[in-house]
Amino acid sequence: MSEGIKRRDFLKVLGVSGAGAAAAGCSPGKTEISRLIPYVVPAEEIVPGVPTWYTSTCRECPAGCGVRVETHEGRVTKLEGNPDNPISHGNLCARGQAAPQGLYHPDRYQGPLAREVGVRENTIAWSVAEGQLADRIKALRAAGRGNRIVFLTKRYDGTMDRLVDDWVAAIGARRVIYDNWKDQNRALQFADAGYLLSFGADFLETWGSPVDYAWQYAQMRDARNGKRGKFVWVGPHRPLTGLNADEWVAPNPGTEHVLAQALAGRVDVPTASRTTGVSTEVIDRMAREFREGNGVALGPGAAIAGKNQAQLISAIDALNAGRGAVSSTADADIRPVLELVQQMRGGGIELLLVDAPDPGYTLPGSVGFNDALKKVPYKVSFATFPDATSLECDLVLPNHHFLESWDDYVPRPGVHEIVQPGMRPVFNTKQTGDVLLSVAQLLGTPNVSAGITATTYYDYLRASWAAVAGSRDAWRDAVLRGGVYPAAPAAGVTGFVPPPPSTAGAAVPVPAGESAAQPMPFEGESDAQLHLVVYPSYRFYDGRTANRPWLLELPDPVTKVSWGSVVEVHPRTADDLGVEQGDYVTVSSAYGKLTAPVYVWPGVRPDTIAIQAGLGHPAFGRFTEGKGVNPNVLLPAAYDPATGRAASYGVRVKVVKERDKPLNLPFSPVDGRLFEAGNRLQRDREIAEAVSIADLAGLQKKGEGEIPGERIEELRGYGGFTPVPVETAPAGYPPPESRYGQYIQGATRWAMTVDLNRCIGCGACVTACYAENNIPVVGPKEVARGRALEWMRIERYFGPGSDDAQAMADDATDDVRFLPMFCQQCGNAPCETVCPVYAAYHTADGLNGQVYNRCVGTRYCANNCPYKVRYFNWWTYEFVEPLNWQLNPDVAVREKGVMEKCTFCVQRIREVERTAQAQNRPIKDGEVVPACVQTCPTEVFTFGNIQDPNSEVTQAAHSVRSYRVFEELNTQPAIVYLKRVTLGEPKHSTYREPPAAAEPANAPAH
Amino acid sequence: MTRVLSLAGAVVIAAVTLVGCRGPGAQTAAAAPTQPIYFMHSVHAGQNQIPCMYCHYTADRSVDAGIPSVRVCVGCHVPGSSITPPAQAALAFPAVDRPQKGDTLYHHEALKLLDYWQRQQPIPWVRIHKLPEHVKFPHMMHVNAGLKCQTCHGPVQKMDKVYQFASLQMGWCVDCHRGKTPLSPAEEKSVEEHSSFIRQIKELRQSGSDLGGFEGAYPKQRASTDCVACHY
Repeated sequence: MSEGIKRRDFLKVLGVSGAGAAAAGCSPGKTEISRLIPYVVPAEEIVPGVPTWYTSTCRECPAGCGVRVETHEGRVTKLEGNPDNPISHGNLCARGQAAPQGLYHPDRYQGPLAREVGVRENTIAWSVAEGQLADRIKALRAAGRGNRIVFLTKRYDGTMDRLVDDWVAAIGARRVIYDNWKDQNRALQFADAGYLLSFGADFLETWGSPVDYAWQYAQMRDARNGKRGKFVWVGPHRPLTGLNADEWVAPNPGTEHVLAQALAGRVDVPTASRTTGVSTEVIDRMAREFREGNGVALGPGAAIAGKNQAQLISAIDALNAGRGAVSSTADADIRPVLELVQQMRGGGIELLLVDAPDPGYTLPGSVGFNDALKKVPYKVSFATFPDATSLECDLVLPNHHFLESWDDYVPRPGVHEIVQPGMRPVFNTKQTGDVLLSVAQLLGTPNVSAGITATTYYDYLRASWAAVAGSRDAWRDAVLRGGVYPAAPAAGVTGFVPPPPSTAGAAVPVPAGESAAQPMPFEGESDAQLHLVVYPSYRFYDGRTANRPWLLELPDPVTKVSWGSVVEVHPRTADDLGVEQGDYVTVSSAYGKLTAPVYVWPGVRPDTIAIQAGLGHPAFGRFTEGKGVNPNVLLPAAYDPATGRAASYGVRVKVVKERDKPLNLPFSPVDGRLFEAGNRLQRDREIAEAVSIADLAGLQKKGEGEIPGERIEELRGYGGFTPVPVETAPAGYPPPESRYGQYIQGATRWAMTVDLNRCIGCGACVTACYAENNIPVVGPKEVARGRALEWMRIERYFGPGSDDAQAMADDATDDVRFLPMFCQQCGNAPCETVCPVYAAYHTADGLNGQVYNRCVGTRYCANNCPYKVRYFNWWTYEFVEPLNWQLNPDVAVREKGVMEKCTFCVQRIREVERTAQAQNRPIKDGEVVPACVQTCPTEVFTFGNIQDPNSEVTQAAHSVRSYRVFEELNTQPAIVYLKRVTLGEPKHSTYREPPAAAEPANAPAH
Repeated sequence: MTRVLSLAGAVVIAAVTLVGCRGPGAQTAAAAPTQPIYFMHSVHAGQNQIPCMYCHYTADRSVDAGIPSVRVCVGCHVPGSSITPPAQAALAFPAVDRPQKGDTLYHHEALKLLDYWQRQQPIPWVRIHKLPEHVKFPHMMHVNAGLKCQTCHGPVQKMDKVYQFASLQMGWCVDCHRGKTPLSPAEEKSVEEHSSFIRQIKELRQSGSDLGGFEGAYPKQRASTDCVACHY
């Protein structure tokens, strides 16, 4: 008994826990009193137990999707897309879904701070903080050095722009704008295009307006009349958007613009072919298809924006001529910031106010922003989180989260959106607009407050909207709808209108034909052979959302790595470097170096490596610290001389193996979890199926639609269970009249279709599921053990070859299939029969119920599940205060030892059932909307009652493309997948045995 | 040895748990907890016949029955004062507004209420009916089906101190859902009109659907007893 419990301790423990159990369980009056706390004065809009919804606008990225904010008793619990909004179309991406975790993040600045950098920080009152700032400004102005005050801001594209301009003018200071990727075109229309050409623009992830673009892309991809749009990706690597493309064209790094110029007819094809390395046939075909398909070109993406991007932009504009799509330059100019850094370094700036996306982290390391910051005597930050920049600031005036703010946003001309708070501030923060107005009041002199007459930012905002929605009623209508959209009568207004976004910036000069054909030179020493691509992250954008636990746990859609960064390397390059999957390499440029594990896959050119931006923060809250690397440290302070736009593309780096992969990878096992280890291959299992568009037409002609009809009949059986005769089944199975649960013929059976042709693999559904169902985040170590609780996961299969590195290296992997995998709600469910305590059982409406309070954690069900969609709570995972404020009160929080899984958001089904009963009517089709269905940007899912022949889901399931995963197991799942439609023959992703050992797949059993 | 002891410990703890507690609360008037204010339902709901839903105002539209805000109490006890609640604690009520001995609304316990109101503090009532968090009990479904509050909460209008009347255990819920618990004729009739479960069964029967072994087992079933009807 050297370890473990000693007898005496044991008795002590026994005594205490026994007493505790007795007391807690029996008498509510004695020890554990539960209290009912009423309102003193009830809030008008709140009915306890009933959610209240507010319209607002998501501000996690410049897209500005309209959202509806669900609140329970005054707390924000979830965001959903606002269907009235022309940008979100009622959908939302994973970043938007994770916004409440920014709101409730435990490491937010909780109030104003005065800091002696590196020594101590004191929490101070707002009046003191504002007084300090006003005193500083007063002193500088009195000394005649008001011009040494600089306000470094983002581009707000709303009323804040006017306020900041007024404010800065009033105190005689200067404003410098720095924003990331704000220049991208957010108003393109290509839903009807037959051909889409993207020059590195990851429009399904971050570029422009991803939720809107994903929606348009899905429409473009829909097969209609035997045709569908084609999407071609041009770039040295394939992020998620590139992986969705029908064709990947990878010109030599630095020659992307030459290809664009050739397609625009400005460079002759043979020259372009020689320079780019793309064959003349391909270029000719692209030009033809672009012309014939009424094509649209997008770009340039941030990843391939180099020092000559003006040429690329002008070529793209030329290709889009007639579509009204003009790329902008106005806000992308990075030169003012670089100039500012010079001045800071030279001591020319005495007071710097920062309200910009963490320049200390997002600017290239060689800019040396934070070193220059140290030279400024007094720095003020408006950051929400302690980040690289704000930690160096002397005064922190933390801004509200957007879910606590009143504001507006103009994402594209004519669309005026309102940001409405969903709740009162969580912490002692104050909106920056209000701080500016307070400080203006404190400064007091008439010339300071001239033009800034409002005392609160809300009043200022309302005045700003006087022209668009001036009257009380008009404003109220606008708030209810989330803004004023083009369809609404916004024309003919006068007065101040929040400025349109800068997308209509100056046209880029057309470069001369000669230079157009020149490749962009890459800089780097002679031993630095690999071209570096730094690309935006779908999950973290430029790093601004990198501290949301849901997004950290969400596997990267392409690499399936969570909680860390990887260096993407081509298999051939990996061979040359002598590294294998997961080995650590050191990447160095003239500006810096970093060490990270490699991810080997053929989605990068062999002469290129790719690193995702967004991680490697020196400080950004407990979840992010120490996770991943920041590739910005490798970059020079480069820009395109013609437009001033930042140029991250154009560096060669040296890559050296550092060490072997550790036994326990600090990120999830590459290429999937334990459950799906090695599953970049389907190995003949036909999980994610595809059909060529030619075959699809054939199927429709032959009338093979009968097969899905049969499927539906099966599904309509008793609670979904109609045993199909199987020759090899044991005699007398199933026993006659055997039934589980209260099966009633003709009752509802919930079912879902999943259109793989529309799925882009982004994972918005996964995060929505986390948000709706109180799914805990397990952290990197548990993820590596395969214990992540993603009820919904996106499986990603590479099409051709792919059983060995060489095959992958030779293949462009154009046939990539994404498949959302979640509980299949089997009619004949293997999990149910093995549960010893009846916790897994079949409900009357055809769900595989999971009764958490009944579960004893044998895990038999998960073992018996062929889809591996049941997840076990190995621990009671913590929801750190106040992240637990986000928990959905309609769903039980599970604890250690309980199995959990998708139940089609049964809480939403029950809620609709209640509403229907209250109104004494049956449930309408489309009334029940599970969280994944609600959020999907491409509207992949259709959900409804399969018993109703007119329901949308029945119609969708009748498609000739329908199939069910592992149908041969007779599990009779309620999820009907619709095959992905490929333009050419689908490349079989199945593992092929060498011919000698081959055996026909459908060989009769011996 | 350690393992044996731990196992024994677990058994003992389990035994204590099982023997020591049955159900969430004791069901006797004597076990009624002391509340911060001696609020008598017998006076309010009994003597004065105030409808339950005057105070428990969300019982017909929310899963929660609703606890009256302090303003609702003050609305009766200090007429007029609820319209302009005191903005700060310093702002005291005029003396005339305070109920005096002999006033209809006077009670020394009511003065405690005024203290809460003046301090703008909520009254920390002791919770009596509490279901575990893995149970979803929608009040509005039961109220709208025509069940009387007393059917589950007991003769509250006669209780000086409220105690837990029903066991609130699952068997008690299920018995009623299966139609084994008798209801008053009025309730019975109303439930039959409102239950979507009964309606659905009727429709299926009319359409000639096979109801499986269902009909024989609980012919008077009123509502679903599917686990996931309440546990999710």
